[in-house]
Amino acid sequence: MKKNYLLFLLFILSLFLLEACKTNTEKISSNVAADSTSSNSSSIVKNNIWTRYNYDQREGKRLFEHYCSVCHGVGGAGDGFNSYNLNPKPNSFRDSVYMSNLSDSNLQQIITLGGQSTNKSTLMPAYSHTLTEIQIERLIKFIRTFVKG
Amino acid sequence: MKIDGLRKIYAVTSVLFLAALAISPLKDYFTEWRSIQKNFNETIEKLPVKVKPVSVGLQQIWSRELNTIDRCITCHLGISNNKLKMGIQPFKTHSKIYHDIEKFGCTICHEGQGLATRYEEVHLPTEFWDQPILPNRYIESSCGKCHIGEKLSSTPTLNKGRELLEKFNCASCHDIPGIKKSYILSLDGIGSKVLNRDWILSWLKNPKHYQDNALMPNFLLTEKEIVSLTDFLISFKSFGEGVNLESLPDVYHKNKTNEDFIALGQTRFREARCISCHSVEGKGGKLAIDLSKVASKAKAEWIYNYIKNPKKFQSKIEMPQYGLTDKDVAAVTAYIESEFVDWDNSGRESIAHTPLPNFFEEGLRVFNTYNCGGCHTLSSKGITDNRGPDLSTIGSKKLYQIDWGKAEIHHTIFNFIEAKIREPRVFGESNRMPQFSLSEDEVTAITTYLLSLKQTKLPANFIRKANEQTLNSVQGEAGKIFQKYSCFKCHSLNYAGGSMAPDLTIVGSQLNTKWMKEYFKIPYSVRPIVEERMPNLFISEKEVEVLLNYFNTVLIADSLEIPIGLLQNRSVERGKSLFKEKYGCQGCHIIEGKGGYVGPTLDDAGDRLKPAYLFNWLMNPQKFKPNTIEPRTGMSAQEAFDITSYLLTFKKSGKR
Repeated sequence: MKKNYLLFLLFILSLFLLEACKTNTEKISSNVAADSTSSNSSSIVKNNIWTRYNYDQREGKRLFEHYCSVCHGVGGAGDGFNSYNLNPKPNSFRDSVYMSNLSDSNLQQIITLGGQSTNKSTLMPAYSHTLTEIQIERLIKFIRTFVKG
Repeated sequence: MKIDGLRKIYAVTSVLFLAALAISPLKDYFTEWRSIQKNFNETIEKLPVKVKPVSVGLQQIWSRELNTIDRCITCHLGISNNKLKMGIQPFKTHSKIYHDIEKFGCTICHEGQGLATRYEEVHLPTEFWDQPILPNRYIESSCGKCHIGEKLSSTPTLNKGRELLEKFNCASCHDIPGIKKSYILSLDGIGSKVLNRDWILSWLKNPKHYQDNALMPNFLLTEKEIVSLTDFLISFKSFGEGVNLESLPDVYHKNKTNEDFIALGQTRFREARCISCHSVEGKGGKLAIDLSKVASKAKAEWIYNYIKNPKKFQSKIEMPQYGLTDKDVAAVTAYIESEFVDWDNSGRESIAHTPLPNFFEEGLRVFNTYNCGGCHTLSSKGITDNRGPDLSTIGSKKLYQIDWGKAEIHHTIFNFIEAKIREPRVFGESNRMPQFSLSEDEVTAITTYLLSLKQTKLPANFIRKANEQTLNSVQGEAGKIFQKYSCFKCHSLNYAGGSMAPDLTIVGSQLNTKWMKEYFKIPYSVRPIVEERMPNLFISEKEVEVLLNYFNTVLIADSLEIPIGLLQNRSVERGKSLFKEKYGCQGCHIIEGKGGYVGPTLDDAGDRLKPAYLFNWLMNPQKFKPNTIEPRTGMSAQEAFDITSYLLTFKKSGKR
């Protein structure tokens, strides 16, 4: 009889413990981004800028399209409408070999001080007086997505 | 030893109580955030950079001013740590933002339950929390909570939403803070304007059938409603007091099929650049209606009168009153009558139709039901204001206040707004809101703006209100000319007005009078890549004199000077080498016939630009045009002066 009681007590206790532990189940890895909260509206295109780019890249994209795309092209391939008037033509940001040879600080220097500063074309102007450091950092983050994507 | 029944029960219950008491501390001990914090400390040990481990414990940002407590940083441990930029969530560094996270907290922008620490409660929409965490695509709505009416460059979606709400004149039915009612078109005389009633029938059925970019949405009217509304509208034959249609001149009747006359009309049509605003078979501007089938819609007489003076019929219309002669207008009318015909439906006689006896009452009822009076004026008795719901605090609408109908969506406020905009009748057939055809991006933009309209009052020191930019109306004779030619549809003054053409605030200090005089006669595109150019408005010479006088006396900058010290040391040669070699300006500008297509051609810079303006522009372009893509080079005053001297040598007039 005593044994049965003890067993019963243990059972009850373990039930409580289980309940208590329930909150601890590991979920973080399977967690989905907050954006999927509206997954019900399936009509939304999966590949929109909100899911493809993070905040910095989105801001960079906006700046890129405004200031850079006329020469470097909206797709970063160096084929903007004005690229045909340039000699030398802009390099393609989609070229993974070319891009992997350029460090972020290289890119920062070119954008900040112009092509001249690293013996590249003078046709690439300096943006240090036009864009802030944060903006240039964001631009670089966006430019990097051309290779990854 | 034998235990009796009562004691047994005591023993069991006391153990149970003990266990129950243990639950609370155990639950706390096993919360997920504790394991996340432990995980964080383990993860950072493996990193090559040194990151300070956290001591386990609940963390929070308490913003006294906003009255919020946000515990997000309990798990998002790397938010303000620059070393974790490449980290993965939840330990990643927050993107650089313009606000101090310590002061603002998290939920002021991201919404959601700041106090909650369980994943589901924080990140997923829960039933009892009206403001769940905002999906990223609406995040700019939070900027709009404090930055009221400011068109910040970092909130493009919010700005676009505001523009769209104004474009579709949403304020005509809803109260929306920050959105003004943008236009009201008069329907007076519509019975004398349209060629036959079939046009109104098909337009009311679906405006998109007649015109792809119709601003009027589809009201999804029933056949019966359409018929009675059409009969109602067609009964309005008068254009209002003192406004009558002039009959077409003799020159029109004599020549309307003459090819030369039609060709003249076509030339004037092209010179006047009607397709800057109007489109013809999809090509052209999007600011006004498509003209492809206009001759099958409106009577020739009306077209003639309208081109002659649009403002007589629609006092607020933005179409300029061109300075064309009667003969020219008649020729344009003949051209329109010969070309812009709906060939599929031409020559079809409309079937004789007798309106129902109560068509007027029925039509008026439909007119009022759908609040047509919001966007249209009509001189009729019995028109009432029948607006839609007030949207001033739509972003904080309580979920239980929403009638979800049969819509199968997750119940959140942003899903509601988005679904409503996408398909207004999805929540019930009896809703009145018409169907707009919007792209997904446009739906997101409008939703973002509406979400920014919250009920909660934020502390006054957080609010940034934009100074309302109202177009100071130009007085006097010049003002009348600006009005007549609708200059501020395209141009702006102090950045209020149109955005298609340059700002005119200091035009008198920018451009040479002689050049402007020529430009009024034959406008051309200053930039090689931009096809849009100013239309030839056929402004009379006398009017041009008045305008130029106004430009040169009122629209000038106070201090545009070249420092006197520089004037002695002038070098065109130095300017040339700076222009071509140091700054690579030819990358974007055409000079000596060669160069880029981005900026204006500089081969006539000497004719066009005034020296002081050119000099100051070179020093700081953004000062004059904040959005220009020309970078500020930071060149010295001497360099700017040299380049100015070089550019001023380029004159077309001198060579001739």
